[in-house]
Amino acid sequence: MAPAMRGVLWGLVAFFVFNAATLAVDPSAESPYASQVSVTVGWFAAMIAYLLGIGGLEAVARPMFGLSDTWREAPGWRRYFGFSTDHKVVGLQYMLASAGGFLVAGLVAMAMRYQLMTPYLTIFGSTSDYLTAVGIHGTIMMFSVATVFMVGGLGNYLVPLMIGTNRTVFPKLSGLSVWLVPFGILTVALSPLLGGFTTGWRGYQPLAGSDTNGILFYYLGIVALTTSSFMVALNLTTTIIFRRAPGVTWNRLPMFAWGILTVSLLNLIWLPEIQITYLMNLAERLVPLNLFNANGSPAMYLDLFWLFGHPEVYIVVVPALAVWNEILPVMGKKSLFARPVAVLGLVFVMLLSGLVWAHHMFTNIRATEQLPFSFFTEMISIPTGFAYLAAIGTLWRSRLQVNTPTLLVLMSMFNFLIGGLTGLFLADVPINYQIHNTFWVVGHFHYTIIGGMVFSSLAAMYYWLPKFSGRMFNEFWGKFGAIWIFIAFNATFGNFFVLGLRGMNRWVPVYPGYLVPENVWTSIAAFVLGAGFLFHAAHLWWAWYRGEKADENPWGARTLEWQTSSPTPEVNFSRPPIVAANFYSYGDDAPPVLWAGDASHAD
Amino acid sequence: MALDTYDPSEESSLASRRGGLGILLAAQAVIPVVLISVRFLLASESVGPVNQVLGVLAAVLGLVAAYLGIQARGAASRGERAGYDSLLGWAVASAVLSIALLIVQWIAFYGTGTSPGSPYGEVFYVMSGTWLMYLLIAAFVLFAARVRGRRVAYGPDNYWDVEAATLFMSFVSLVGVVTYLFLYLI
Ligand code: HEM
Repeated sequence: MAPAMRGVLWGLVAFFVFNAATLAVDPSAESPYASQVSVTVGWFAAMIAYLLGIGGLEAVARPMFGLSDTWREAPGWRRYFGFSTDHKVVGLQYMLASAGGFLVAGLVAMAMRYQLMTPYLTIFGSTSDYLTAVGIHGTIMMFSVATVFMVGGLGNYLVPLMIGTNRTVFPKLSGLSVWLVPFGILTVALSPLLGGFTTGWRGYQPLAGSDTNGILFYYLGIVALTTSSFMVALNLTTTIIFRRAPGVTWNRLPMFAWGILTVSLLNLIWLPEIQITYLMNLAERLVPLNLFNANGSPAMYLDLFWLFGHPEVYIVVVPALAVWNEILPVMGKKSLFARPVAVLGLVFVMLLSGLVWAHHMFTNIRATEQLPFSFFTEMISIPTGFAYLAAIGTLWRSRLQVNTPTLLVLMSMFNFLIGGLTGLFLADVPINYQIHNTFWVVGHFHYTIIGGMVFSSLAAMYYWLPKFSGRMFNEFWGKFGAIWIFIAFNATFGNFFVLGLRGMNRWVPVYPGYLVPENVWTSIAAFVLGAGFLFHAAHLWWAWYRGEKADENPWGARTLEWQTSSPTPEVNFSRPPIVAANFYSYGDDAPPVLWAGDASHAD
Repeated sequence: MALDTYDPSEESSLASRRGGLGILLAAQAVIPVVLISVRFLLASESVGPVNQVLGVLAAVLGLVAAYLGIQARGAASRGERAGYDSLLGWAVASAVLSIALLIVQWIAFYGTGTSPGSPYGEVFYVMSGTWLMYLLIAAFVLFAARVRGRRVAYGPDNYWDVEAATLFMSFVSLVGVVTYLFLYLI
């Protein structure tokens, strides 16, 4: 049996056994089939059994107790359906799991947009059902796509290659962690089985307190997804610190590795913070306690949530900023402009991101508290601007090859700029009072997340496709798809600003009739956008298997992942590469990256 | 196929694992910090009807478990099989006893009639519950290190499992002390 199947089976059995056993002793059981406590206990048991089933039993549990590691990875494509210690397999598993999350949450978004074409309820039975959809969409997108695709996916695959090592420090940890992603996605997506939840992705209290039991699956799903991201952060941080090949000094560390390092540090600090917050929420419900409800302190929950929630958005976007500066020097064949400034930009974004959380709560805090948060929020645009500075400086007078990855990077820069500028309006308290809770906000963050992170992820997929698969995409269809989603994206989310200014609230499926025409064509644009993403997925899938064979280093890049054959061989480097020069110096006089005499190509 | 044709030396590999564990523990320190803030925000400086003796004993037993673990690490690095086996056994026993005392404290606290939903009640259960959760994990990893040590002899080149379990226990013992201070005293 395929390990993934075995994991699912064991998980299901464990769930039913532990659910039933807990139910037998739980005095608070509200139904003969399940109680809040029994579902929670069953869920934790299922998670452990599932991880053991996908290969954790043989590869982790047995050796932990001194027995031999009897795990054998299946050959060929089947190895992607089980536990693996190869960072490349794990990276691709993360990308696939995250793409699965994108599909699920994207379909939910389509349903939401379909609902919003009419000012009264159509496909959703009640407003709570609509809110459940918003919550599932937001939660899966944030915790399994936005923070996972680039860090867990591209990070696991590329960072070890980029720093010249063959494996990560804790390969078994990431071999397990990736399997928490589908588990978490499924948990959140199944919350309607327990009644759904109306709080959106933020789980706001005291609303959560009056929700049905569906909120349990929101908490538990996030526990699984954040645990996965925490493990990635731990593994990649340690790997970057300890496993750099000779010559990959801090000064030479590739931009993307810097991006992953900075967000991993953020993850290491803020994920435990939100995890304990969610565990407190869980206890609040199960015991019950009064930590955050009307008898406790709902405002404290808001603070605890946004303390994590705001750094979270930088966790999403910093790797994207790094990808721009990874791709542009290569495509422009021009040395990266002001590299130290670009690195400092990433680091300062990281540092400042912990100081701005209360700007999400301007309507809940005192005027004296608003000023510093407004100030820091506006300040953070400065280090963000450093990424633009480096990118624009690099573009300046370069011989830019405008191919699909470049085009997507340029589009991402444009979109993110709009996201940033509209954020400045929100950072301004008097304006915030007017547009708070409207579609302006929804437009703003979709511009930063889709515009910044999703466009850059696509750029990265096209750029590194020859590395992953040894094949090349079709330039025409790549550009065609890029232009398609660029137009559809701006038509959809640009219109969110207009809707917001005209009074369209968030979280409402029922709205005044005068907003119907605007909503109808926003939804049509959204469907076109959804189809555009599917088009890219299909194109990339096709290119992966049927695309033309690519050269080993088709872009003439200097970073280490391109100094080994494409697709990446089983053993990344047969000898440690010895790096002798900067990765981002282009031009005729640029010294070779590898120390002369070093042939690190895999045999 | 083996993934490494150039394996980092055993020494650097150990250094990276130690570093990684250090990073893990530093990150976990965020959790007590959050809990302490929550404690003061919700219950200010009030202290409920807790049993000081039980609290002190639970914290001290955590420290004892960590100390025994450190000794076991030394014995493992010297390959003294009987030594590390019994030290690890005692370390597990101390951790389990600490857990038992916390459970007794829970029962005693509940018996005082303090509602779990009162300000001190909720911070009590949340903070001591977190302490308990950490202790359970620490007892489990110490136990696993001991069982492993019976099958795979630890020696100068192979004692990472004991070291990791011990470092984790040391962290947990500090969590215990901090929790005791902020929950029972201040
Ligand atoms: C296919 C493109 C997408 C469309 C059409 C779309 C549409 C929407 C809409 C209409 C809402 C607001 C619903 C309301 O407040 O009534 C929303 C909320 C949200 N979306 Fe998207 N979205 C898309 C993709 C994404 C992506 C890629 C992400 C992140 C990676 C994302 C993250 C969120 C979040 C976090 C919320 C807030 C949920 C909440 O209020 O709790 N969305 N989306």
